[in-house]
Order: sequence, then C-alpha cells, then structure tokens
Amino acid sequence: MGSPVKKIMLCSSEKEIFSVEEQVMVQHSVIINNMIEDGSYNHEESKIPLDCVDSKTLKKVIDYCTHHTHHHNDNQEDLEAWDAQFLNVDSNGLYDLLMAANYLEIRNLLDLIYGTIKNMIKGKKIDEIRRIFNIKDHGFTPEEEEQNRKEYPHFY
Amino acid sequence: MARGTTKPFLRRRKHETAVKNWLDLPNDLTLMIFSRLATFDILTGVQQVCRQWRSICMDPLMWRTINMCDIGMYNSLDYNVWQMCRHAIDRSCGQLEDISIEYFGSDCILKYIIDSQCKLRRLRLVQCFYTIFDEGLCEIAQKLPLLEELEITLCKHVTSVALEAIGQCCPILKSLKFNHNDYNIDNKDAFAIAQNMPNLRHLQLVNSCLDNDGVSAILDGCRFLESLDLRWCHNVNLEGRLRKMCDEQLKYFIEPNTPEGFPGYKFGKRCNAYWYDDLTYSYRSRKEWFGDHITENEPQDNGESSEEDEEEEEEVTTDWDEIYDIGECTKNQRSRKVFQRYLRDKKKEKKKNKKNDKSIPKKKNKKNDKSIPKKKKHGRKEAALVTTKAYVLCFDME
Repeated sequence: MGSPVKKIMLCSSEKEIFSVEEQVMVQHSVIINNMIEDGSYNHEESKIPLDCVDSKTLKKVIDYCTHHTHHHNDNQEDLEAWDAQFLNVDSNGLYDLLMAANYLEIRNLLDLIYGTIKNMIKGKKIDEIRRIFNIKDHGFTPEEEEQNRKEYPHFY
Repeated sequence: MARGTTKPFLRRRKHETAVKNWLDLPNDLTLMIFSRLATFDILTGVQQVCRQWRSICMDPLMWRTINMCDIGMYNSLDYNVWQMCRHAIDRSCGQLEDISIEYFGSDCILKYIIDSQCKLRRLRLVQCFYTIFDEGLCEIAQKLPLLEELEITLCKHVTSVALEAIGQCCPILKSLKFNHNDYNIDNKDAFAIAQNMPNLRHLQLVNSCLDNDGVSAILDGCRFLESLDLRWCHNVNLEGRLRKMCDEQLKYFIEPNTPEGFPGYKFGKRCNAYWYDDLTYSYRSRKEWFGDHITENEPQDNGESSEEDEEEEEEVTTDWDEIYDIGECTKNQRSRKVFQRYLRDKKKEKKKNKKNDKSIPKKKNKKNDKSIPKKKKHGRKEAALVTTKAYVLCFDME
C-alpha cells in the first residue's frame, strides 16, 4: 500500500489505453519483460502499442495475467477452475486470445489455449472439426476427398 | 433495386469479418496445437480436414513426439495401429525424441524406432504385456545414449536384465518408472537400479516386490534421488534407520501404504490417463489389495466426463479378453490366475451395469458413433484371434 505501484500503459488496436501494474505484465509476457529490461519503455511518456490486439481481447489477457499474479498461491484446482471459466469463449474469441498470447509471448496462456483447442479437436469427426473451425474450402480434389472417406469411413 | 443489391452484400461482408479463419493461423501455432494430439487422432482425423493441415502434418518437427496411447479403445480389426506407428516414425525423419506406446509395443517396434536414427529422450512402454522382452530392450539400449526418461509399466517379461543394460547404456537417465512388471519375489530389480543408475532423480516402483534391503540399496546407489514412489510395495516396512534415511535424502516420497486418493496418483503425463490409470489400474489394485467392499465407489471414479468414458469402458472389456488370450499363450500360471479373476469380476460388473441402466448405453451408442455397434458384431472371439495373429506375426517378423 505504501509505495506506489508502477504502472505501464498498453494501447489496443482501437487506441484504447489500459493501465496495468508493471509487475503483472513483466512476469507473464516475455516481450514486455524485454522492453522494460532494455529500457525502451519510458514510464512517463510511452505507451506500448498493440496494433493486432483488440480491446476486448486485451482486457481478457490482462485479466488472466492479473489473476495469475495475485492468486498463484491458490490451490491447483481453484486455478484450473478459473482457467476453464476464463476460456469459456467461442472459437473466434479463442482465436483472438491465441494470437494475442502469441504476440505478447505469454507462455502459460499459450499452453492453456493449445490444450483447449486440442480438446476441441480430440475424438471429433472430420466434418465436425471443419464446422468448429469454420473450414469451408478443404482444398482436396473430389477424388482425394472420396479416397479419404473410403479409407477412414468412421471418421467423417 | 439499389437497396436490394447492396444489403445482402453488406451482410455477407459483415459475416466474413466476424468469423475467424483458422487457416490464417501461423503454421507454427497450428503445429504446436497438433503436436499435443495423439498420433491416432492426427492420422485419422486432423490431416484429412484440409490440404493445409495435411501439409503441416507432414512436417517432421510435428513428429518429435509420437503418442500411441489410448489405442486399446480403437478396434484392432479396423485399424492397423502397428502400421500407423511405423508410418508416424517414418514421417519423423529421425527427429523423434519422445515416444509413448501403449498396448501393442513389441521388440520389433523398438527395433524400428532405433532404425529411424532418432535421438530418443523419452520412452514409455505401457501395457505391452507379453510382447516386450529383455532381449529387445537390451538391444536398443545400446543406441539410446540420450535417454532421460523411461517408463515400463505392465510389461510382464521385462526383468532386472533389461534394467542393467539400460543403466549401463543410458548414462543420463533421470527418471525411471518401472511398475507392475514381473512378479519375482526378490530384490533383483532394486539392486539392478542401485548398481547401474547412479544419476537417477525420480523413481517409481509401484507394486514391486522389493523389500527393505532393496530400498536401502537404492538409497545408497542413487545418491541424487529426489523422489521415490513405492505404492503397493507390500514387502517394504519402513521403520527406524531406513525411515530416517528416506526422510533425509528424499524431497518427495510416497509410502507403500498410501491410500489411492493421493494426489500424485496419476502416472506420468496424462496421455493415457483414463484408460489405464483410472479404470484398469485402480480396479485391479482395489480388488487385489483392498477386497471387494470398495466397488460401490467405482462410478465416482468413472463419472468424470460421462459419455466418452463409458464407451471406453466397453472397449476395455474386449481388450482384456484379447490380452487374456495372449496371456494363455505364455502359460504363466500366476498372471493367468490374476487375469482370470479380473475377467470374472469384470463380467459380474458388466451384468450389474446392464441391469442398472439398460436404456442409457443404447442411446449413447447411436448418438456417438456408428462404428461401435458394428465392431461388436464381429464378436470377441474374432477380435482375440486377430490380436493373437498379430502377436504371432510380430514374432515372425523378428
């Protein structure tokens, strides 16, 4: 409470500015950690432009980092439950989060998202996967597609 | 008119921007996602989805990890898992680092892995009951100088001979899981570990027959040991000096009489978590060590993720039948008895289940997978026959 918490500014693609505790982002994001370390971020003036991250996604990413910084001592089950709740978004939201986590290099979040997407694919039929990921043009020739369907009939 | 033409156009544009195209995802991210999937899922599903995904699946980097677990639930009549595994190894082009084989591993597969010029760091062989032998392991051990992690679970013909060879050939081996293997009542395995694996950090010996002498030999031999798991080692009785040694030397110790609910209960990475850990393993160990009174709790364990799990359970029973048949070939009296008992119990349980919920499983089968009722038509005998044939084939190939 006594000493003021250092804050950094993050700017989303909509030019909305988010103020976050420096410690929170430094701990999770490799990119921001590097920026702070090499002194390319000036606390008085600069803000970090994140042109490929929209406000909604950025807010979620900040939520994730904040929660995991302040609750890292919680027991594993609570954290997992929180993560599951956090990633309870549609596939578009997941896509944005994945791109943001990749851009900011937040390893834990990346792992979490990879795992979630993996579970979306696992054990699913091929047609179902195409629907979930909105793949309309599979790019196979009709002959190839027919061949595949013959080879793995149970998986379509 | 003008209105009529622009409106649907706008609407379509809006729709297109709203829905993300997953094919735009950078290939390396897609690869990271795929590499977490089981090999079976990749070969039968993902690579058929679209051309782009297929080309990602052809990348050797994708095959650094091959996970042939959960295979038991796919019927061996429809898919030749051995061929799939070979195919996956071919695609790895020598990049293979981590391979898990469950249920169908054999000496000739091990040889095939080694022949791919890979630099294996992690090897898991689970439930390869009667198809992996000391000879096979000794032979490949010489070519695994970089091996760091090894798991051999429920492979009945692997003994201290293989452990010695591995210890001598794999100097940086850090983690060994050697569970439920041979039932010889002596300390041979423990001595082999103690004498040949001085750099071991983690050791798991669930259901082994070592006694106090074995434990003290391990503690003396493996000076860097941090964690030791001795669940169901009922010949170990830790008291006095030995107890003190364990407490001083180890950071993490799981005692022989640890109850099942213990958090560290799951083996290894959870690639085969359901099929092996929860069902087969706990069921058998309960029957053997705690008697029948715990069966009431059974549904709690299985009820984790409802539908799929029940399917798996069905498949597991057929697999056990097959395994039993293979078991008969080997004429090992002791393990045969264990299997017979297991089968009997399992049949009883199945009857019970059928009585309890007649309607539910039928519905589920229809909903989930058309192939499953089909498989059942083939009948167990045939399934067992095919597996036994495959088993014999493996030997022929050697």
